[in-house]
Amino acid sequence: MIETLYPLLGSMMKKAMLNQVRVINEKIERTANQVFTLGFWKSKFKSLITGIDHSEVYFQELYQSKIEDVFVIQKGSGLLIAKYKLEDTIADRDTIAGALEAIKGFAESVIGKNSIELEKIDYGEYNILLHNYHKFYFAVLCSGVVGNHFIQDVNEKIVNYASEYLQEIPTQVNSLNFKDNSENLQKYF
Amino acid sequence: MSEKLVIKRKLLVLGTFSVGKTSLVNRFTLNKFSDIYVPTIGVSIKKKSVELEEVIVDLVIWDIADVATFDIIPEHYLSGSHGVILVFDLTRPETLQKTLEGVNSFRDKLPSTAIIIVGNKSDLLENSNMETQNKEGLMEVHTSAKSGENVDEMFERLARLTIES
Ligand SMILES: Nc1nc2c(ncn2[C@@H]2O[C@H](COP(=O)(O)OP(=O)(O)O)[C@@H](O)[C@H]2O)c(=O)[nH]1
Ligand SMILES: [Mg+2]
Repeated sequence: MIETLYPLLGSMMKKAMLNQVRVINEKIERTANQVFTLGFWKSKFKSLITGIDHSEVYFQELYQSKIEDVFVIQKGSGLLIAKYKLEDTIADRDTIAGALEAIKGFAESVIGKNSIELEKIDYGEYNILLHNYHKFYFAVLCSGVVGNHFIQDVNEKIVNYASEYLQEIPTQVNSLNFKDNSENLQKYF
Repeated sequence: MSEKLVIKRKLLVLGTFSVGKTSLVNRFTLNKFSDIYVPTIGVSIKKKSVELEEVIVDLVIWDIADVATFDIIPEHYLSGSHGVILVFDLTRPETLQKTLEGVNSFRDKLPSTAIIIVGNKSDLLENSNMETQNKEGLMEVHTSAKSGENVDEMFERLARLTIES
């Protein structure tokens, strides 16, 4: 059931977070230089105003990037501590959280545990950005093309949320006092 | 299922080739909740809730492909597991031997993890008592994934053990 919804969950994960984005970015830059569309000039103009890299503006408008869901996952167990969407509209999030943990753990054991933590998982048409803390991590499910600016934006949201709620994020999912932190999460995303 | 507290537990299913790990988990979770299979890693994640007297336990169950089991259990499968189900095949005594060796290889690393030994395929035995205390001091339960005998009871029992420990 979920395999059809999230078809490439098991596809290989990429260690280098931005590589793919850069490649697409360059392609668009090249195409954009050849095709002088109205959209191209609009985004060029917007880029002048906002200071964001031009090709990124251009392709973000082509492929609007969007946060679809946010998971806070306990390291090791892969148990879900908090989620952004309250109902399971797409799929069961406890199961997804477990699968993400399995992929992350696998990738990190291949790369070499202590050297690096995975920052992004490619997931079919989705990108999952990972933001690590000591005992848990955030996994942000994004659709569209994820550019540098978008990633910065996501990271900022996470840091804001975490600076407010870090103490309240229950690291002991296994304790009987476990309290879901989803409602607080929703205020920030 | 209303006012009760819901807690989550990670269970790991281990055992040698073809003892019936996947069959047991499927029997238990059949038509319930979701199932994600991650082919590159060979792990399948399933979930089912069990209602006990005091609490509801959401069991997130990791069923690992045979290649990854026992001889080389990745550290990250073990870490954070609240319960481990060690499955052997009642008709192949050597699988119990392997299982017991397996336990000793990681038991120290998981002092607070509840462990249950499961002899599966009881339907193939003439008469099988469904439960014994084995010499390692671990609980040994006999099940049949085929007939369903004792399967729910086994998972429930482990769920209970994980909240006691
Ligand atoms: N008779 C009988 N066969 C079983 C039972 N459980 C599993 N099997 C069979 O044993 C084989 C291996 O089962 P599987 O669940 O794939 O084992 P795994 O490799 O440990 O995951 C399959 O052919 C199953 O049909 C059982 O309780 N009784
Ligand atoms: Mg199997």
